[in-house]
Amino acid sequence: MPYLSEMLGMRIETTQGVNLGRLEDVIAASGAKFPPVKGIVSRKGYGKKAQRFYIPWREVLRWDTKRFVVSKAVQEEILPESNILLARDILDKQIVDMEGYKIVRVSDIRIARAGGELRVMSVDVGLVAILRRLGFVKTAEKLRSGTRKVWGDRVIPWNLVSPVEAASYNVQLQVPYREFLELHPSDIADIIEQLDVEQRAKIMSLVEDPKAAEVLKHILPNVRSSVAEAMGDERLSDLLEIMPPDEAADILASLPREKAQTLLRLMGIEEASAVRELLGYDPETAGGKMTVEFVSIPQTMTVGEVINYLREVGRDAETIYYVYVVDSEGHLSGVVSLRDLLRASPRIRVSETMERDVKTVELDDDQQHVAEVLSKYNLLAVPVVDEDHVLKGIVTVDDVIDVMRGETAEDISQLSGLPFEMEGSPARGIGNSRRWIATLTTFLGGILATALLGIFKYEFVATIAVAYFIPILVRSTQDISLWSLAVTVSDIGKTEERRRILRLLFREYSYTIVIAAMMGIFCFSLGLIWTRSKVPALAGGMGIFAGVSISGILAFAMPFFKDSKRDPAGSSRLFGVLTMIVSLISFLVVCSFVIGWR
Amino acid sequence: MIVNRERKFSGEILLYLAIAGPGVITALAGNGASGITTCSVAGARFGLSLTWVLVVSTFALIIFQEMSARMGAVTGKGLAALIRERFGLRAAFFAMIVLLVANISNTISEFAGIAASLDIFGVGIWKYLAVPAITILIWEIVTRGSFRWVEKFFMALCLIQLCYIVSGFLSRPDWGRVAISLVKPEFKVDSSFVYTAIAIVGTTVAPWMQFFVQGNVVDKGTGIGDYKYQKVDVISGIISANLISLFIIICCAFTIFPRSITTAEQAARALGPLAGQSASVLFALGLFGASMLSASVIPISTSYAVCEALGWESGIGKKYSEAPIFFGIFAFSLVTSTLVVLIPGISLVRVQLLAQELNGILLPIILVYMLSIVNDRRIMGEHVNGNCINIVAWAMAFGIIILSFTLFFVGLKGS
Repeated sequence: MPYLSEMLGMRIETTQGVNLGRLEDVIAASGAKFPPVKGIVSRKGYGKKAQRFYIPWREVLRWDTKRFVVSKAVQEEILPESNILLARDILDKQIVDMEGYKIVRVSDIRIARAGGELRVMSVDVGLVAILRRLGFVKTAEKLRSGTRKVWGDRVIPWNLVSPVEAASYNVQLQVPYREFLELHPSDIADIIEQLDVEQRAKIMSLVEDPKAAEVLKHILPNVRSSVAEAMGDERLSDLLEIMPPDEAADILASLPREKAQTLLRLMGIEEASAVRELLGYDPETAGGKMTVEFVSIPQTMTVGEVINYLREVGRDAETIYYVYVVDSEGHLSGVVSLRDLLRASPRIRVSETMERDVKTVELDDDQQHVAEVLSKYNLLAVPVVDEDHVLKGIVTVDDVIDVMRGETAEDISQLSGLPFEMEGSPARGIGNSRRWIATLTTFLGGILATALLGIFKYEFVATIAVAYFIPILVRSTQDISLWSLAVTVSDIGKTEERRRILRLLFREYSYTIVIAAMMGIFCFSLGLIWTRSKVPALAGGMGIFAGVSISGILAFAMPFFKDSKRDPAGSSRLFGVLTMIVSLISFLVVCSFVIGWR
Repeated sequence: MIVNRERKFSGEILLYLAIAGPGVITALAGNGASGITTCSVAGARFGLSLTWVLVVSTFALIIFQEMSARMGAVTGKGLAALIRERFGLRAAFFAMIVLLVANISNTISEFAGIAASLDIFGVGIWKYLAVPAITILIWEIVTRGSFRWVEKFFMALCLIQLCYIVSGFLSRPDWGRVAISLVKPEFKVDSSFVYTAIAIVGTTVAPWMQFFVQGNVVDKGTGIGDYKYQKVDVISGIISANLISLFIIICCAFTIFPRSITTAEQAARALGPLAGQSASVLFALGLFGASMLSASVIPISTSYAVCEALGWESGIGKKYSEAPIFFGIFAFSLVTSTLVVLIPGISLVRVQLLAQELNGILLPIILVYMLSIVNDRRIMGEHVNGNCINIVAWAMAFGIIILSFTLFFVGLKGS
């Protein structure tokens, strides 16, 4: 029975079956890290006549999903100073962080059996907990098992939550920072992401140096630059020195140029030069993704020496699973895995056991290619070499997993107009602001379209039949331009060559024209059948042709406006609305021209 | 000594001005499109016979809003938060669902007021552009503006309502009769008379105003020490708002009466030939300002209340990604209202009636919650209600509950 909400209101009986009322509250000892449950309070009757019983936990004999069976009830005053009444003091209260910043509300409390006792483990602040309390237990369980974080449990461990004044009604909870600092760096990063800019900097200043570097590493890239900008230069440059050079380079790359230059000057010469070299590479290539903290050894070492060497340098290297063998000029001549090293006799030279056929990537290879190599050969890391086959760094698989997912998400996002988050799944939350903005854009586009119809209303009065074609027009221009967009994004996005691009565009656009012509003819004949008169049919057919062919151009222009920093889904949505408006204008202009001409 | 006293006095005035604002804005925002409609209908149909109802509901509103403001000052928490903490999640959730639905209907009727006033100004078919543009304007001002700026915007909208006082004077009222009607209750055994009387109470004491005034007091950070100034502000706000309602009744009573109208728009149009074009324009302008004010205030106060009760991040100053549900509710209310109002040929009178019925369901619940909280010593400490105010408040609440149910069932039968 893990939740307080499930215990509340349960029947309490003695072994003889005497009803003692229902469970009203659970008492826990305050002060302990995970406080043990000391007893329960039962209530019989309502209002002023209510009788309350205090039942120490040792008297609880057994309990199941329906009732508690207790040996006896003790009716006594509960001392509130040393105890917390979970339902009264904690449940439904606001959690406030150390700055008095409202964060969330306690929706449930999780209690678990630990060491023969029941202990309060955590407070639940998520949506799922709200659903559970409202009685949608099954729905809540289903959502909880889902992988999405939004719907998953949002739980704060009890040791991070301490009631300021127990027993006061205005009790507030806080996350004291001493305990906060004991958190794992990635947890601290999660919390920092939730705060506003000033508080982020404040929290960063509380975290000690080596850990702060870890925290900075775990913060989401877009938040990270704002955190970095809010921090002092001295402190930040110290942190960058501690970090692995590739991560330092990533952070520097996300900062404004002047700030990055200042930081580089403040860093130690050795560290700065490693970072500087990495900064020279395009961040989306092997050079940009690689780390220089790999283990390399000369061919002359014996296996035993290598293992000893690994003991020394293993701490700083990104991975010690692969040891790269280089010659005196740094050329990569082989690789030996930790497994091979451990299995080989310590006396032999590494050159005898190493794998000579090393899969490598080059410095300016695209990150997608790097990811493909890693997955094709099932590697944990792939060495990066320059034109002379000199070993420059390695890319580990965890650095490109994000790449693979990120790129797919971006492509899907661009095509579907749905905002995909970096994890590669669509943003589902009803509260997602981009969803609202998207809907609003579409809505306003619709209003604009309606207004356009108003301008051309004389034509409609003349031949209302023209309006028949508008749904076809709007739907088909969307589809056709999405096709073109898909082709443009996938084909043209990959080529740099101008002439080839033009040829591709020409080919695609001729398809669009053919489709537009076919649709125009089709609509013309359909119009003849519907209206049994030539003018509206001709107007509709020509209008459709114009609308589709003109809005088709937009699809090709779209990827060139693509700005990697902007939200691809948002621009796609805008594109959809733009297509609708442009096609409608072309349709209406051509229609009115045809009708007026006759 | 005298110098000192004067200085202290002017200091107190400054302090009052610093705290002033929320009360006036809340009270005037309560005079939204539905309030103006009700008052114009009351004046046009029944002349001055219903002004005493306005006096009684002013009194009730003062009592309830003073309680809300006091709760805010003592606890530093909003009403929704107190309901959740005192009555638990289910009660709060239920109240918030009803509040959300009621307030969306309220917002729709405010947008209907905006659209109607635009119609009077001859916007015509362009309302399909103008109403969405106003929606965006409201969104931008409320979410992007600083608190001071937003308050100035609201204040400006409040000042527009002075139009009603001018159009009231333009109707050349007989002040003697007005004065008598205020203190001499009149009854008529007529279902539409009773219905209009109930509607006046319902639009004056709207449930969302309790949330809004308390939220404002909390936001201003007025402690219980400065509470007396807050109290003055709340009361003066209510009185000035209901004074404006009175002028609407007066204006309609001395011009349109006795004629049967159903909307504020009809009242504005009818005023033209009777009291001059300027009176008509001023009336429409007032309707526009009042609807704008309520249309901005109601959705944002809904967002605040819901997020506060369910423990979600809220605040205008946050980024969209930091408080998605907060901005989501705000945007949803605005967009839904815009869409509904723009549906061609929709009966907005029906929407307004729906809004009033939902308010009628919600108000008793909120009043009972409020009275239990304000009398809980664990929450309010020494600032619980006195016996005298409790008797009056419970009597008022009981009366309003009966009226609300009557309204609800009359409306149910009518539909």
